[in-house]
Amino acid sequence: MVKSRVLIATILFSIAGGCSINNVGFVSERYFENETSYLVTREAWGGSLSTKNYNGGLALGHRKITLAYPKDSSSDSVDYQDLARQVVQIPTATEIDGKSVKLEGVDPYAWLENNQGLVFNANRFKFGFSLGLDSRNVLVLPPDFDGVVLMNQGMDGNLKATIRKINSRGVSPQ
Amino acid sequence: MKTFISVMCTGLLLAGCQASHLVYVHETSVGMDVAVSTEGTGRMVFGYDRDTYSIVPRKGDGKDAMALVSMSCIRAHGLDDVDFRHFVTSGKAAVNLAKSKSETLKGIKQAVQGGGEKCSAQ
Repeated sequence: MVKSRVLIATILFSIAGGCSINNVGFVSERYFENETSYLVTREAWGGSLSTKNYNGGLALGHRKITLAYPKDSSSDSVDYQDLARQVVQIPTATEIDGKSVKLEGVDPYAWLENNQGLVFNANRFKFGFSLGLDSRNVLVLPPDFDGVVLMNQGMDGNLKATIRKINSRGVSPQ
Repeated sequence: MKTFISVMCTGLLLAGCQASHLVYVHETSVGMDVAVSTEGTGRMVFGYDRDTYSIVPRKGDGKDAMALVSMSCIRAHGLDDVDFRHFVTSGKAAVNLAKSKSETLKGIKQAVQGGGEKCSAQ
């Protein structure tokens, strides 16, 4: 009985240290953009509940996710070798005001997730729980996607991503 | 206990559902990790585990799988330091790239690997 009370008190203390639901509450959210993508980092401590389809679940501990969203842009053609060179040198995105970006209804095409603590997952990619350290790098593309995606994460742990869509008029072979 | 088994069985059944998107996942866990996935692999880990998988779906019922050309360079250092580069192309872009000259593909591969014949640090 005493041990269960200690456990419950520990969990409640962790939650009381901060709680959040998606991007509301004890959570830090930052927005960045480059030529082709928006990057959103969301970091939460304590108890955090996510209702998003990509990382839905409840976490007790520390949770950080970096999401990459495509901009509404496309090209007539793509130089593959030029893009390949960019994969190592994707320019660092510049921070912007999140109020200037509307991403409701837009699905991210890639994300990098790092969790520490107890996490209950209930989303399309994972249904279960983890206790300890958990990290995940995910790339998701729709079946009709026509273009190129570059992703780069260095030892600093920061995610860089860019996407080049090809318009419906076709692709010029290189 | 019965509820837990029921939930896990439901998840395993859901694991048979067809993926609708191209999915590439690289994940690492240290500690305890129990999961059934609707798009991926189920797992039960106590300790350390690193898993990489991809799912390439059909473009539609009765249609071929998505066209895909991808090149990756992944270097893992320790438990959670992962350095990676992905070059992924799909659709007409992938078809045209696959038909291009071998020098083009070789050049892209070397660029993704950091300029050399093997995957190297950034």
